[in-house]
Amino acid sequence: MKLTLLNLLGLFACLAILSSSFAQSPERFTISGYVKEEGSGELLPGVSVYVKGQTIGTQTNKYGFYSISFSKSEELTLVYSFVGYQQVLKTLKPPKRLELNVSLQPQSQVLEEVKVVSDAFEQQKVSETAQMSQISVPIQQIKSIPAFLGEKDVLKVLQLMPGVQKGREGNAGIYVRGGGPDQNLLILDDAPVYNAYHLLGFFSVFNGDALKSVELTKGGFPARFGGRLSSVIEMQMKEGNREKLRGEGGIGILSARLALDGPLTKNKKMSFLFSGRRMYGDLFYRPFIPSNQDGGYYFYDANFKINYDFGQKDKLYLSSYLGQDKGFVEDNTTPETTKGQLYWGNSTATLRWNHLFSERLFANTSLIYSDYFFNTYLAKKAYQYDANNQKSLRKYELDYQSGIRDMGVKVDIDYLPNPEHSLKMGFQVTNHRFVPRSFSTVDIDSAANIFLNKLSIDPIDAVETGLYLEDTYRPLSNLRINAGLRWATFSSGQASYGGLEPRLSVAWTLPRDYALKASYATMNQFVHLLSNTGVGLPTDRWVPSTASVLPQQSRQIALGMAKDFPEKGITLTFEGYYKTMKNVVNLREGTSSLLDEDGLSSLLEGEKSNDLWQKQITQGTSWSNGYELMIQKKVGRFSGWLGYTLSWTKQQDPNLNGGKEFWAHYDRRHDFSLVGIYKASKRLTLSATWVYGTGNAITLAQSRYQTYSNTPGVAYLQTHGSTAYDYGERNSFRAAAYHRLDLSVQLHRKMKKGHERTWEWSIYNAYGQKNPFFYDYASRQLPNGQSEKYLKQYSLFGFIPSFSYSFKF
Amino acid sequence: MTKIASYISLLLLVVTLFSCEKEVDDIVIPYTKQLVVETYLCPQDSLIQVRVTSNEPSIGIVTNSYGIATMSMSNALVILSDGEQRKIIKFSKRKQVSPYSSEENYYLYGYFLNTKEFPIRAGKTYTLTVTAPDYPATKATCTVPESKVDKETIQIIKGSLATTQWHPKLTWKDVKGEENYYNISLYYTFKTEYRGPDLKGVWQIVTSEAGIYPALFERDAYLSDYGLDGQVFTKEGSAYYYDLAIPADTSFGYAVVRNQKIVANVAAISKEFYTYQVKLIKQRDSQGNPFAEPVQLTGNIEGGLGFFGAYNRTEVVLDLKK
Repeated sequence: MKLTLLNLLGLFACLAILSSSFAQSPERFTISGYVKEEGSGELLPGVSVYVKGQTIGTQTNKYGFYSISFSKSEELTLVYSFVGYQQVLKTLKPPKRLELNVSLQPQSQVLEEVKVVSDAFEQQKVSETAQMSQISVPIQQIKSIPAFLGEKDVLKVLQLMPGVQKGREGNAGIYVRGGGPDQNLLILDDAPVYNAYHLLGFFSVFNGDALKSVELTKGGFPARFGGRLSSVIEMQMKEGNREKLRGEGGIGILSARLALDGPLTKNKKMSFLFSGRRMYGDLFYRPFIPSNQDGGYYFYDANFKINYDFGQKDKLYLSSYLGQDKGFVEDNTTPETTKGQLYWGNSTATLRWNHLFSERLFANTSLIYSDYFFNTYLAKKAYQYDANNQKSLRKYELDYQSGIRDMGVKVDIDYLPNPEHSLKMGFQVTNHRFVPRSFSTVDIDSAANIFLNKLSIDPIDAVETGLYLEDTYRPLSNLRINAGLRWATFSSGQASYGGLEPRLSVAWTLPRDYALKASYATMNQFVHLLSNTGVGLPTDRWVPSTASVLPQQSRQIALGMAKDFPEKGITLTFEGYYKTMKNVVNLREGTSSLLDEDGLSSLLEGEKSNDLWQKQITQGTSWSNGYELMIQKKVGRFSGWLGYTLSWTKQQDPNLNGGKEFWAHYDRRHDFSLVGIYKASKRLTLSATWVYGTGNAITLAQSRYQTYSNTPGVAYLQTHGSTAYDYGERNSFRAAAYHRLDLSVQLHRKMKKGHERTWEWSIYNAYGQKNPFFYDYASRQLPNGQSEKYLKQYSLFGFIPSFSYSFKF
Repeated sequence: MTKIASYISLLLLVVTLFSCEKEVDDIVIPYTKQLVVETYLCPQDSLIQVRVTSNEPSIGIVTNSYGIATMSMSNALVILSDGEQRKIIKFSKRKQVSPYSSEENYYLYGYFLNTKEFPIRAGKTYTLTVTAPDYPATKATCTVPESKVDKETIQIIKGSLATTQWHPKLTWKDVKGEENYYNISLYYTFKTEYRGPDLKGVWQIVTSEAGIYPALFERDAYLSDYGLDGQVFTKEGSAYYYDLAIPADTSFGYAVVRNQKIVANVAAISKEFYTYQVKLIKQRDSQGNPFAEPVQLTGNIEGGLGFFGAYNRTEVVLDLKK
């Protein structure tokens, strides 16, 4: 901790030196301000702000703030452009300092109100940014793409991007550039979300109604990002409409949702957002369950945000997410009763304060809270019978908990000293509290004898810090460099780790909107997920690095090419990457992430259980390389993208596969996705997605044999054998290739006062492809009386039509 | 634990309601015919048993009623050596008397060698080679653990006796400062005597049968002293208790249970032996779980499957009559 403070001081010393060096540069003229959405006042991140005819430009930060400097004052035209919005041009002669807030009008309004029909919208060019390996998906596109059971899902849309793969059929978990599902940092308004899945991983917890932006970074990580090896998925909630009360909602076959946002004060300085979603099936069948019984399953999530604009200099935001899945059963048939619950969920809260120290120095301070919990509880009273057939009532209780809770503070500073440099610096300190497992059973017999079993691991506290400095430097008009350094530390009990993470991204813009890009990033990950399913089950547990569980580390190098076709609104990117990962966490063979048998037997032995979970872990290396092609069209009547990934991912672990290297389960040679959205008219939107992916690498038994246990001193028992399986090399087989076509038709109807209704019909897996979910051996009797063993493929979802209705007012 | 698992299973069941299945014909599963060799040497045992079977392909026509070779093949050449002498172990069958009923007596087929002919000694390394026509040759070595648990540190506690079950406890002390692995056994033995008049009306013991009820699950039979160095181990078992009440009218005869004993064995084994057996148990536990990573067994038979192990055991008997 001391080290961190010292480094913090060092960082600010560097800043002071840099500032003084920048201060020696010639007189500057600065234009700064916020870019908002016309009509709602929503601040817009990522808006391109540049000088027409020149190569001077910047982007609004995630709070919508921009600052642009010039060395001389002459008449110029500033262009504000953003995907899906009509660009704004401002011609002026900048004074020494100018505050210029700009509002952009959404494209849909322009189309209808101004009757401008053109595909040639100016948009931010990928060939003009230093960043590579980053993908943003407009929320409107997420809402237009066909979705399973009509549930629009942010993570499932990201699965359609090159370099990002899904795990199993229907699952929302993601695998980025050969990384595991634990290596993705999902941040919602600065707060990490540890379990992002509802309903056994089939849906993500992020409700598109509440989101303003979604951005995935899979390589070339700027220094401000850290903590996970493979990706950062940053989601921003909307602030809430400052002009008028607005609402939207809908109902599908699985859940119903409602979102409201609007001003809270007449001066329009305060606004709110609320959005909620609930699975509703249980509400229909529960009334028919007998009165002394109950049971069901549902999930819900809610987003809430409130903000206050104190003026140009200060803004305050409070946002929160709460979501839970719950399965329960209750039987009050007296005197025998059963009451059981299984519930898990996340809650997050973020308090953010934006402060503008000067037109070139912007700061955000966030207080962050995040909690993930998994609980199961069972209480049962039941009769037991003794030898004389006398019954007595026995009580039994079981309680199991696991979770992780974070509390942290984060400070980010944007400093824009001159047109050539754009500095970002900051730090984050997070206190993690892990509850890897707490398990207890209480058994009380009729004679009030209490049998208590308790396997509780003391909560583990850990402190994680990150300190960073990055500079986007433009030494030449066609060369952009983002160079940064992050110092990450982690301490938990006796274990303490730290490391420097150098980051570099270089973009060289060529004529005709071509650019060549290269990047390098080192990442450390100090928290690990124990999961033997990879499907986002609630039983997956987060655990810290300890003296014996080392931090994971990755190094990634990427090279790429970007090309813009501004007249067509198309961008093309091609990237190649090579990533190595060490200390990648795997569960030892046969270990259950829930409660291993070692745990149970140790419980009986009275063994100290605090380090048991560490025995479940084995760590090895992994490496992945691949090529990704993406052709994307974000705007226009026809939009969508084509993505293709060719990749290889291997692993090696001293405790797996006899120490020999093996294909990662999620190694996928080819991964192809095609997404098309066609706005046929103001009333009709058609969309389709088609995906194809090489099958997962799987392990299958190659032969069977009989084996015998040894019972010392007893020869007789040695005759009782059991079947053992010879699996050969780990992951040496390939599941069948996965492919699927989804279709959707949306009918929109504009009502009076701007109200809107949308009916959507969609089909998941339109040609009913039986994609593999898992494989197992089965046997059957042949007509000649012989028995035959064969391999069976289990598939989950065939042709599934769905309908949903949504509205906006 | 089981309740949690059943909740998860219930949720998975909901999911699988949508599911469908089909036979797979696009994955080729290779099969290599191999010998499966299993034997466990012990200085305290009077007999060396080697079982030689074959593995079976995981798909295709099942060649026998069990779907798997359960009986030792007879045409293998089995050679055991200790570096000084070399002995061919011959195939034979041995009658095994069932403790439960004489009708359940059976023959055990395998390769048997009396330890009088080939003594097994602690600390010595043995090599086993097994060959058979049409199979790759196999070879394995193992060393009998040098030390065994001191008998004085082993204790059997009679434990509570519920209506139909014993709960005996076995305790022993781990040797401090060494990495130790154990294979233990705990069982309840007895003899049932049926007494009654014969055809001439002379009272005598009509039949006498030995019974044995194991008190430990297989998963409790293998232990390591990881994190428990030098401590006293305690393992509680549970075995059916067999008793017969003498009827009020004994004129037609009655049965009694005699020689009731609890027998415990604590055997020192190697780490490889322990790992193989624990993995075997885990492999069985994870069967049927589509999400579990399969457990690969790490046998020590070069060119084949199975395990060649050795143990050095200490036996303690608690006579329940005392």
